[in-house]
Amino acid sequence: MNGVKLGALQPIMDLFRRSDTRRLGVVMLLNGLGIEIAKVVRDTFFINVAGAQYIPYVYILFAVVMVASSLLYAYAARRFSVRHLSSFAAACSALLAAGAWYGIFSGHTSLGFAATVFVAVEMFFIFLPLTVWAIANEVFGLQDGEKILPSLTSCALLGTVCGGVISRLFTNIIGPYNLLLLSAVAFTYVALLIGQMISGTCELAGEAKDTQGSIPSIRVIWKEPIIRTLSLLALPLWVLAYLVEYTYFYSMESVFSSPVEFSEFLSSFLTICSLAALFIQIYITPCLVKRIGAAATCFTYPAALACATTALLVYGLYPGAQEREGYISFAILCVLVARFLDMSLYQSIYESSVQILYYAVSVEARVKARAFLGGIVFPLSIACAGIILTLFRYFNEPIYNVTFTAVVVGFLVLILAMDIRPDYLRSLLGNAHKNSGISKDGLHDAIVDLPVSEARGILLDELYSSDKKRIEFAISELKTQVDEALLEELQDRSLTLPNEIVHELTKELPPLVAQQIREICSQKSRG
Amino acid sequence: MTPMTVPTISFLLVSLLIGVYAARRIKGSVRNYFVAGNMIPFWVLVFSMTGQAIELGATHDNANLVIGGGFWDGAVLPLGIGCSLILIGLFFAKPLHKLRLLTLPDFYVRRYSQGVGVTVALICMMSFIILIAGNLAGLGVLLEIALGIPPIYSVPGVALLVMTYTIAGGLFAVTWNDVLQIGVSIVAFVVGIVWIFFHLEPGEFSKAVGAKFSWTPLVSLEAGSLRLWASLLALALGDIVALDFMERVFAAGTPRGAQWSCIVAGIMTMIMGLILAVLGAIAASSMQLGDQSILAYIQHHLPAGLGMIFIMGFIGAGVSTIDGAVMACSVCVSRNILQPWFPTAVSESRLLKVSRSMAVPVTAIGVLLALVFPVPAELLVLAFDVVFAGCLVPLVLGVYWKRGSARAAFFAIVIPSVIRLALHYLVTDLWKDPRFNGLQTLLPPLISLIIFVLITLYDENRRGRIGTSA
Repeated sequence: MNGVKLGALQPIMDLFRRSDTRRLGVVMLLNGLGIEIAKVVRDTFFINVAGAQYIPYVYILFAVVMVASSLLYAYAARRFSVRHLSSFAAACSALLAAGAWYGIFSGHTSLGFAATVFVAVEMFFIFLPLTVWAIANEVFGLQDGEKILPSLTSCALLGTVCGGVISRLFTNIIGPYNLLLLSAVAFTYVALLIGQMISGTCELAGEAKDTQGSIPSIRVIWKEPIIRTLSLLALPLWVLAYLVEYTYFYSMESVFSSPVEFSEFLSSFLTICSLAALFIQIYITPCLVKRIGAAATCFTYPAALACATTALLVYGLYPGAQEREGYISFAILCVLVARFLDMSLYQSIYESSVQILYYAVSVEARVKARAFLGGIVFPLSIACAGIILTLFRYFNEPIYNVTFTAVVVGFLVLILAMDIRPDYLRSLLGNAHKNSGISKDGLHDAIVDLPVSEARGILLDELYSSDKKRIEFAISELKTQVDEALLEELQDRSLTLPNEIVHELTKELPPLVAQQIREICSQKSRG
Repeated sequence: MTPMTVPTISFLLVSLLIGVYAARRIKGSVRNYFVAGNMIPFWVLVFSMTGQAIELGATHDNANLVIGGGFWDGAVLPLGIGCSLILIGLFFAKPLHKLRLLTLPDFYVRRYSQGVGVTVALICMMSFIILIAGNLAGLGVLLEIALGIPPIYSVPGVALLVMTYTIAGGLFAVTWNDVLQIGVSIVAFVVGIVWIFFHLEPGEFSKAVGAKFSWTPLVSLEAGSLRLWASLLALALGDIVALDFMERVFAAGTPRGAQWSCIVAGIMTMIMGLILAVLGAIAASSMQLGDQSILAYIQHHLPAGLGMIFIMGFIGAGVSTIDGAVMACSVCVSRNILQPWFPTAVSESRLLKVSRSMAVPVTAIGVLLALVFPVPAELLVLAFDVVFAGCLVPLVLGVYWKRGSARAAFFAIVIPSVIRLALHYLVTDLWKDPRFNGLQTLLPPLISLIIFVLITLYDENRRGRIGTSA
């Protein structure tokens, strides 16, 4: 195989060739497979037993459960390594999947049980990838991570494709709900594989870091610009994603009446989304990360989601579109487009680029940041989505008002996402001298990825740092972009900037210009 | 609660959130507040300029004018504003961006003198306050439909909201909000017109547009072509001196970004305006005489969802213009009127605080005008005609003719502006004749050009004589 060129698939093959990454790749694949199957079963079961009208309440319930689980997770994260947590999460997921199957098999069709299954599967979706990404972030540095994390995402997507295909093929044969057993098997295997990592059978490239006792507080986490931005962004982003999901179920419920048909449709649609995501992940994400940087790549998903809401609005404006049973109309197609954009881009571009962004903060901060985003921000936004949808139902608001609100939230998301790039650079600069994973090249790339005026502003802010190394780095970068605008900025900041920094920045300029700036600075200082 | 309460409240609430969020970018810097640190990305600028260009005149009034008159009566408004943006992009964005100015009157100060800058700032300030009032008055009507609240409450309420986020986040808040506000408008108008198009009977569309469209008003003096061309030129050339457009030009990251965002926004403005003009034509064909206004059509002839979308589109267009105008006007007052007169009170270190404070009186005057004199359409045209009359020639020749003097600029601004006001208030009967209506707009800029050139040449001649005799 060594001589065969696989083009864009090469990174995935490389992942499986290296013993240290192979196991993580398989874990990702099995996670993707198990979650995908569980999701198809969950959606089919819930829509058939309860109906889309109960989705808002389940969101609220899920938020409550999620907060409790996250508190437990945060507590456990202080005592155990991420590998232990990951293995435990996989084992719990296997048990829950098996339990859900047994419940359905025994004929439980109550609303409470349907809601429990919904919440449980949503928990798999959150905790399993979260813990595995934590392991990956712990093991690989920024340079390695930029190459390996997209491939790991590809493995997860490959798993979802397999999960979708298996669901589609076996629904008719073994029934839509028995597939849950396959999920349970996949999660069990994941638990065993991670267990092997813990026991040392498998040596990973990096050393697991002892995070006990050194996890920073939420206040410290909140000071990290990139974490703050990702948290603020996550709030409306998840609300939007759940509004899209709600509209999707709301519209599909009227199209399919039999559980088997609905399950087949769900698995086919999920397979298409996963295939598209896999294609994007293999062919587009690496190019985007390489060309425009991880932070700008990350922006693609919020932008696509904002566009998706327009498609939802079109659906909302077609009165009676949801009444056409068994018929995929243009309006329904709009909802599918919205859901497609959401699912395919979230799983591919967003997931892997966000993982790269975490490298801007320290290893300890990453664990806490993930717990904060997953445990507080995520449930909060789901609760918000649930409350919004419940209020819409309570006031009998028409679907076009729901979709219009989604459009408004979509634009808000777009605005918040604009801060990802500058705040990523701020965090990188702030942690570069503490975090060995950040190289000078990585920093330089992040600076080049930003427009000159924006990067310059951030570098000038660095001049106020108390860390001498940060100031030196900022000066060295600013020296490469001396022009009229920089000189003007220096003049604007002359009151607050120490004279030696201005002197350092201007010493390589033509003597006359440098002298002029220094004079202005000293005049202003005197003034 | 009306069916439009939730969309309207969510829209206004998110606007406020965006504005408050943008406040963290200001960091006490005047440059950040005035021109968003010269770092607004291209796509945001496109939205922002389009948002500033598409106000209630180019949308709501445009459609109403088509309903009440011909296609060009309404379409001329967005076409003129769109042309203006394209002209700024082609000829002014690059050279002006390179100067790293904070406000447009700064150009007149740098190129001519402080006095010329103050004069331009005063004229622009007045026109922008009237623009704010006009859009607030229009919003009052729309919010009464959307929320069922009378303008006496809704106008101050919206003005307060807009003022709050403008003060908080400066041009960052305004441009970021433009993305939301005009984004909603674009989505609304495009989705709406597509929906209407597919729901019309075959042939109805061409019949409706055909009934309103004719080339005659553009070529026949008797049909009022002079007035149409005057409106088009006043908007296309006069809006080159628009404070809000130029503020965005200065806020661009690069001269090239400034240039192309103007051009793209100009094209988008024209497209959006034409969509509304077509909507007006369709509305006119669907309604009976006596019931003719775009709001009546939206409320009574379209499904509820679509009606909501159009009203929200109009509200977005109105709010996006008001915030930009409040921002441009308050900044212009503080930097170009107050600072030269009271340099100690408005020192560089206090400029940010004063600029923020100025948004309060500017908004308050706008609200007062909107409530006391709610239909200032005629006044709005006059205000921008005055800008066109006086401020355009010194700007154009200031950029492209190096010889212009400060004295020439001052007189080229003041005399034509006074003439324009005089033509409006003293000569009234002549403009009732369609063959002459429009001359009052077109003549003053020509007078401005003549004055500017003559005085400059005279000054040069005099300086030459003094130099020779010395």
